[in-house]
Amino acid sequence: MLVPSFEMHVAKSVEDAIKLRSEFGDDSSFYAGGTELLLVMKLGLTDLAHLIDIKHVEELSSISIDESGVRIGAAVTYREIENNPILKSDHPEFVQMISGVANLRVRSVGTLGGNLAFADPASDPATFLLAVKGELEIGSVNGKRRLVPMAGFQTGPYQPDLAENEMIVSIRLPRNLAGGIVVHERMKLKERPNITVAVFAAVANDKVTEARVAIGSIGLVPICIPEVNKSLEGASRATLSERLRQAAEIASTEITLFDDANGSVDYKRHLVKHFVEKVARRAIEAVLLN
Amino acid sequence: MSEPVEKFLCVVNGKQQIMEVPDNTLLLDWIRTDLGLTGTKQSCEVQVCGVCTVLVDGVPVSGCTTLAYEARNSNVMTIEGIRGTAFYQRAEEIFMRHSAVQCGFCSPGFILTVFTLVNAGRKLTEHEIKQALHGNLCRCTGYKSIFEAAIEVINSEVGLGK
Ligand SMILES: Cc1cc2nc3c(=O)[nH]c(=O)nc-3n(C[C@H](O)[C@H](O)[C@H](O)COP(=O)(O)OP(=O)(O)OC[C@H]3O[C@@H](n4cnc5c(N)ncnc54)[C@H](O)[C@@H]3O)c2cc1C
Ligand code: FES
Ligand code: FES
Repeated sequence: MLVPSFEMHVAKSVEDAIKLRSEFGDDSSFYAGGTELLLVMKLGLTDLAHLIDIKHVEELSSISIDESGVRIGAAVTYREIENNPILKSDHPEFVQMISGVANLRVRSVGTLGGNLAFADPASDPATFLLAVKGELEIGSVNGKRRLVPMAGFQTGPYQPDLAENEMIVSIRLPRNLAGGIVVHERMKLKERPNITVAVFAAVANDKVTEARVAIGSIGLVPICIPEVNKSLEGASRATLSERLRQAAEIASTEITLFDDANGSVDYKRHLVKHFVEKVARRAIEAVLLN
Repeated sequence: MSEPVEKFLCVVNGKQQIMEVPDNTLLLDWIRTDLGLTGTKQSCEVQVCGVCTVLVDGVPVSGCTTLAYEARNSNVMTIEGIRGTAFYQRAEEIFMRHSAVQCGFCSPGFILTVFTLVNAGRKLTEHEIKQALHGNLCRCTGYKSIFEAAIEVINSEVGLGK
């Protein structure tokens, strides 16, 4: 398979990248790790005359951590996240999730920003970020920046909430999870996940005060269903099993699923039920017994 | 589009090469066709099987989905580049002893992946080794022998973690 011909342009800054994109319009695309883009080009699904290499922009390639939280530049690779000592010690669940994405070679060059911008329904990071209330910094023309929640960023399969000349500049994780913890699990039979569930849970006075169950890689976009979260709030050790059953039941009936090569709707409902109960149990038991 | 093609240097297996190819050239095609280094294989072409594994500045990538552009002014290592090393001799002996090689098509990718794990210099657990190797496919052996061989190679070079 050949990549159709194009011309590469190296962006020097976020503003430069956006300027190039505005100039070339539809005929161009940002290029980071290329792990999705080159595939799409090889398959002839898109014809682009210009690629804009954003990997050499300092602002997009750095990780910084301070009191307010973690800021990961959009062009930071999975490999760099896996090797970051502070992330490893302070955000082990996040790093563990990242180190299970794809395979070693995809993680060498694939980026967090590329994953979120491609908005593949099968995304571990998007699901994780939903559970921890992650945010995205978006850069627009004229140097404008805005911070948007992960929730709502993916409006449909392969549809990020980005205007044509906008880009993801950074990804933000809360510094500490407000006394709660997050647990993430995925099941994959081939390279990409068949289901990803991430659950944030916080507890006070032996009762769940907050639960956020994010379900991804199985429906149209990663989602949080408010009724599922509500059904877990107030759960104690005595009521946990019953509440988990309820939450799993609601999740598996409320989520929109479709038949495809990964399985039937019935099978997928079963996966949702099983994984929501299992992962939420892990998260809540970990905080309740802490 | 036929834009003029610039020349770049690229050190492949320790030898300087001039890279003079258009932006859309795949690294695998440059290595196999232009340089004639056919130890690096081609199969799935979608980053799943790992037979096209090469190292760019020590980092394992899929040659099938990496632009040669990414190797400009860099160091590329292919299976041919480690052939003369003590690591390779040991790995070859261990892989043969475990019958981890049948047709051999997947072996360059597996050996280079094990090489990068050893080069990281850190003790790895069996789980981590499996996680690193799961992106390489073998149609012949059934993996058990490959994992056992890989674990023995890594153990003999850097030791195993707990
Ligand atoms: C074999 C394989 C297995 C995989 N398995 C998994 C898995 O298990 N779990 C999972 O979650 N994902 C998986 N993925 C997806 C993987 O995470 C993405 O391919 C990768 O993160 C994309 O990043 P990239 O830098 O290569 O993006 P690119 O291919 O460079 O870009 C992808 C798209 O995003 C755009 N883009 C890139 N960066 C930005 C930016 N900063 N702002 C705006 N637009 C941008 C590009 O224009 C392009 O349209 C897998 C992919 C492959 C190939
Ligand atoms: S040919 Fe590159 S991963 Fe299969
Ligand atoms: S030995 Fe034949 S593909 Fe692995």
